[in-house]
Amino acid sequence: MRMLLESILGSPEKRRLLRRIMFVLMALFVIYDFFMRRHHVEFWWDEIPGFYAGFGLAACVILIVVTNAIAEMWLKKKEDYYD
Amino acid sequence: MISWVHPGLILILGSLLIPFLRGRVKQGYMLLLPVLGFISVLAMHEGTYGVYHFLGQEIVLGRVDRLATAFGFIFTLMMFIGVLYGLRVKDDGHHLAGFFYAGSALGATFAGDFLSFLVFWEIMAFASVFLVTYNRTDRAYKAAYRYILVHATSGVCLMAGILLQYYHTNSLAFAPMELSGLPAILIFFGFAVNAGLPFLGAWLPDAYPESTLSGGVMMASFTTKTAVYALARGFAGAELLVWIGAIMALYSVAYATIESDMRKLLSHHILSQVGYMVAGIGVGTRLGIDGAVAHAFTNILYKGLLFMATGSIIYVTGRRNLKDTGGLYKTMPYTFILFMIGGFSISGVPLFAGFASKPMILSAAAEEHYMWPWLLMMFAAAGTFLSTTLKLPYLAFLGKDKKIEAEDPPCNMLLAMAITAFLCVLIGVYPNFLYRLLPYGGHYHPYTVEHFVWTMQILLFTWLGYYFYIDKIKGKHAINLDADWFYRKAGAPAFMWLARKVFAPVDDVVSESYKSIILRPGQWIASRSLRFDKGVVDGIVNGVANFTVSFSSAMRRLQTGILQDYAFAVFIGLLFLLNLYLLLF
Repeated sequence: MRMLLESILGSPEKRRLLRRIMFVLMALFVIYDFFMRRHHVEFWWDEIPGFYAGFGLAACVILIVVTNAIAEMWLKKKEDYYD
Repeated sequence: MISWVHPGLILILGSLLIPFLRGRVKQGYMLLLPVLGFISVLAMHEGTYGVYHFLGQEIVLGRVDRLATAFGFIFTLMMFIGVLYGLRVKDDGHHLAGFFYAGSALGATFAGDFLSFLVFWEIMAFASVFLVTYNRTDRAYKAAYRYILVHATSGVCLMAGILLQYYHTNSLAFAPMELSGLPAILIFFGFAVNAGLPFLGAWLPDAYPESTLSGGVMMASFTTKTAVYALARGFAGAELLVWIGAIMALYSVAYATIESDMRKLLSHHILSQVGYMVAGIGVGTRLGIDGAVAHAFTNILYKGLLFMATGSIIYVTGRRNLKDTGGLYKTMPYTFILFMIGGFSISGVPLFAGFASKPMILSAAAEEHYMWPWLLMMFAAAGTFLSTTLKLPYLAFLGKDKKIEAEDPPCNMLLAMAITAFLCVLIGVYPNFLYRLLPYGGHYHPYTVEHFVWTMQILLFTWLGYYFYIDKIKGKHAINLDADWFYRKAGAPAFMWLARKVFAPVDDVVSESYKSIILRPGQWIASRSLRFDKGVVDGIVNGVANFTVSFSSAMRRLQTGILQDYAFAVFIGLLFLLNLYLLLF
């Protein structure tokens, strides 16, 4: 198991290949969304192709940026703060 | 033939034998107890068992319905996994605390009346605190002390609510309530603290990371999920909960995003996941309740798995902060893979457990047109994937290789993780395995094309967002302020003042009034209740107090008397009720 993992995760080429597979998958799921028949629509944005792709990306970036800003400005303290 | 055996009592009474056993026999016996518990849940039929009459009230130890048995199954199952994981723990006291903890969680689950529910609820708090103190670090002792104080407060609120409820309705039955009126609000507050609702849940990421490794696995499973059960039982359909739950899901995810202590990060995610369950309960439809229970079920499994895997890292390397780890996939490959199964499960990746349960809650919210809570929960879902399944494993297992000497943990720990991982995949691939156990039969189909495509979009593009920032997100040696600041920093003087000036006099008043109420109805009964009081209850009170004082030297350093005061206050309350029974017996 160790050998298998190392042969994949340990080599920069394989990691690059994995990344490319991810990009291709992203494209496929968004493209497919344009042609997908909606059987059941809950909210108006369900009709917009690729909405959830944008949602995921935005959520992730907003979370990282906003939480880290709040942490830096306010919440982050030294580990011995309460001692 | 015995028609019903209480699974909680199997664990609690059965565990008393543990100190007398040795070696393999002991290990086998400890594994056998939760198996027996599981079988007893399996053998149950719906109905009411273990009924005792006091005061014209029914004390029901065994209310068996589908809501209770669903939790019964997962609690006994997780106890088996937790015992297997902690099989090498040497302290008998630790094992006893674990079994009392799980047993009382089961006790609360099957309790049909508020009195027995409260007793089990209190045992849970007092048993679980030992899972923290047995870690035997200064930080653990202090966290344990805060933990018990918080649960003390919530316990007193719960008790006050129950007493008031009894006063108004003359009933102790634990039935659905409206979230209005002082008694119900006090009861709700008691549940809310244990469920870790926003600003009330800071005790959890405070105490859990300081617990023992196997203790943490159990704590991640029982306390919050018993509270989820209680909320589902008492407050299903309370609309406020939809909002609280959705905010909670995101609030805790935000904390997890900036956290570097591995188990603290996961603790925030416990709260976040409980947020989904709370929202499902608030929606209150069949799908909402089924979703909440299903999510509690899967959450116990994958959160247990994640706690076990990070526990393994701490066990092997002694490092708990993501700043100190990296490159562990080479030396701990199986732990890495098992962790990822837990990570995929919590994120709701198709074919893993979370995909079967989380969408139930989201669909339930959507069907009732809760647009904003739905969006908050979707937002939180992306955040869950970000910190549990991308950031944590990247910084621990991949990332910069810190050349840490490590290996996979001992086989019992690996086996416990493997069983849990198997169940996570089983539920993900075959959701009906889980749905059949749900209160309303779980009529839901997660595998629709839209659902699959949209989930994959969210996950993949969250990964893309993380990929942009991958070099900027690092571990750090720092803490983040949370609501516990109020009682750890600002509130400490105020709290001490409250304790001396308010709680102590209230305690006196309660004791005084109890004396007068008890003594009034006649010499005969009074002497009888006093005898009971002196002989049995005082013995228990003193026993508990002595045990608490003597159980560790560091704990003793922290003693200010408040812990005993609390234990005393709770027992005064219980005593009060006990004496009421004796009056009319």
